[in-house]
Amino acid sequence: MKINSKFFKKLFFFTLISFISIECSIRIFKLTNDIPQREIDENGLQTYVVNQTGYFNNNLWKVNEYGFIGLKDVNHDNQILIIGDSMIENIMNPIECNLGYYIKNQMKEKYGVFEIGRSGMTLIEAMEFKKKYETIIKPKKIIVFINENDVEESISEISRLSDRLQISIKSGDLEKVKIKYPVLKKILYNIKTIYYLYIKGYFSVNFLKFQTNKKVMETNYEKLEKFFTILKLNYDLEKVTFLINSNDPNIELIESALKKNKLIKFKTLENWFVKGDGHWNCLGHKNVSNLIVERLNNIYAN
Amino acid sequence: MVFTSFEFIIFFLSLSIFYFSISIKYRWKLLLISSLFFYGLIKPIFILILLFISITIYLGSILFEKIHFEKYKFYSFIIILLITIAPLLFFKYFNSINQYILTFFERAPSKNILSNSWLILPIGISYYTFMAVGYITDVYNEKIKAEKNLFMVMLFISFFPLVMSGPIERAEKMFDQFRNKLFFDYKKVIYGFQMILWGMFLKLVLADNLSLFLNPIFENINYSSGKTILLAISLYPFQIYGDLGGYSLLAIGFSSILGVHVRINFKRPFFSTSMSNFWRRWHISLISWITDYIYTPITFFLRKNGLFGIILSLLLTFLIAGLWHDATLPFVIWGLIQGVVLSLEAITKSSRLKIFNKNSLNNNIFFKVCCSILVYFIFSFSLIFGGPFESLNECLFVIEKIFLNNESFSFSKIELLKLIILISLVLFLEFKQEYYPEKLKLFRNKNLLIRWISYLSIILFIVLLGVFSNDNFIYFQF
Repeated sequence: MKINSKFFKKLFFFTLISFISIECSIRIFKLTNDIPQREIDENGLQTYVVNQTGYFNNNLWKVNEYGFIGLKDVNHDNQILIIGDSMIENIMNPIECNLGYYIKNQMKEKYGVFEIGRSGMTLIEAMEFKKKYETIIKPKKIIVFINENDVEESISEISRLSDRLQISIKSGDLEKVKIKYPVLKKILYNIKTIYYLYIKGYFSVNFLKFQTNKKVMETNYEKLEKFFTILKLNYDLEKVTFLINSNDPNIELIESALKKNKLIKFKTLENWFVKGDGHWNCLGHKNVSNLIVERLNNIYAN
Repeated sequence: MVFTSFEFIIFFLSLSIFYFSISIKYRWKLLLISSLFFYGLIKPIFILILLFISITIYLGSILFEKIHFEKYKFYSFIIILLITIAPLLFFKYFNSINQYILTFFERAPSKNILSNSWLILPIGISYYTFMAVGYITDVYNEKIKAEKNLFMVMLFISFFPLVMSGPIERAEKMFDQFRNKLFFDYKKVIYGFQMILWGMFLKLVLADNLSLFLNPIFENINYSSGKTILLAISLYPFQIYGDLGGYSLLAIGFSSILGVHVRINFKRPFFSTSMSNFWRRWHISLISWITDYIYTPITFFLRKNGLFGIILSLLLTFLIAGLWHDATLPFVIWGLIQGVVLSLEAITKSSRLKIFNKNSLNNNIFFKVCCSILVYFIFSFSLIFGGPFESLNECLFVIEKIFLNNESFSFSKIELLKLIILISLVLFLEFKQEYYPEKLKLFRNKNLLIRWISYLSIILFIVLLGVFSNDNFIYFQF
């Protein structure tokens, strides 16, 4: 027993020293990305806690006073509002690669761009953000990005995701939202060692596995149809243009539910993505922005 | 659940806490339950194979002790042996034989009654079959007595640190340890941790970084230049060493913590001064098993043929070793290359010794290092056949490309530099251990600070440079 206690004391002490050394090394060499903390408003809309800064892929990000990390032009005569999930948020690239930046550059600063991007945003949440910020930003045009699963994840009857803003298509009400495991997330993001091992794939656990693609669409066709009916009834889509991947499994349904001229479709190529990540790189953003600019030019030319 | 995974660490930690908190007499039973659970996680049905082999050798060994007529004893030994190795032969060679039959009759795989891909090789089947064969042979030869407890035999076959990839242990040593030595031994635990650390380094840092670099080259030999393939082949022994050597150290380490001493499987193989010396340092448990249960009986059978008998035994032994890896022509050639080189060494042994003694080369480190380099390149070359390429055509294409393609290197220079630094570190530490074992001790230094700094450095290497997303071990496929 004496040997055991001596051993365990040594083991504990050594583990502690190892942990501190690893944590210091990870912080010194900036081996993990910083993730901004979130807060939630009374309507269930999630934004980031303002004035946070950090690094992601060695790129600096800053949360603006509105709770987003994108462009924040306001009071511009020609205002564009872009809303979407992590693709629009673009935390993994420098801010100079945001869609808004490319659009402004190509349109020779004729437009001001306000970006509302946050990872995990559902389509219904994007529409709620549109409703809230339309009065503040007063945009001439609104671009809403629909990512794969954004539609399905908007409907609580398909799969209840308590940390996402969803709508019940039975009652037509928005579901309550809460941030999942806030304390655990805070610990995970602050203890860099665990987060580092997690992103290196050591904990091979997939926390969120959403049943995707055609299978979901086939089994939930009626629910998805009803969702779009609610969407059209509850939200003013006059200024809205949807940005969508032409390979999206719901593309036919979306095309039939929304007017075709309300869609900007793009097709991705392999070199559009950040290595080892499903998000666009700067080239991807540039190419998508070209399509948006083309559409904007057409609209204003007519 | 591989040893480097998070799930295994949790499994092992929970097991260890429970293991040391129960009475010593129940510990082997807990080991048996956890071993079956561990193996069942791969595929529960595979437990049946373990049980089948355990029951066969248990009954067989008891039968040998009951039979007094030598002739009947021999026949029953052959029958038990065949029953024991039947699952291995079936799972390992069915697909290959089926494929040959399909090719011979020129039939499409879909037209065959049995598709050639419906069998999955149970991980570790070779290793526990070899252990089982060793046990019944030793009982038959009356080297050891038959174990009377079936569950003890089951534990010997299924012991989880060894079940997937060895080292191949002997029954005599293991039964005694399971019965009497499963107590908390401070020295064994520390030794276990040291082995685990170095094993993790070899696997996660050396082997897995090499695999990230080498696999794309091996998978795209059509697009890689001759020089690139030559470099990849030259580095490949380090990948296998890191992979199997690292795994073996992990197995030794985890066993040691539980109180079970397991033999080392690799002993600085890249400092071998001859091919025969190399095979006494590389995959030692397999080679010693092959020596005891294949080479020695063949040599005994051919004892009247002198040197020719030894050469024939060597060729046959390595042919079998090649066929064990895979029943394909490249592995047959690989085995023959080893056999031929070892035979040449056997033929020239006395004349070489004379020259070495005359020129005092036996203790000349420079000469020894030159010999090691030569052995290394012979082994690397043989891996063209016994390595990543599946068909003989591919192997010949690789050789042709190495000699005839003059295109320049095509790979990331920074990655290569990183790998060279890692390999140099391993070689430096092993060189020191080989030639100056008493100097610059790290893990076994008397000074606690130096020991801890050494541990910490290795941990930092593992965390910062390790590849954690790779769950493959090369030798699981055998």
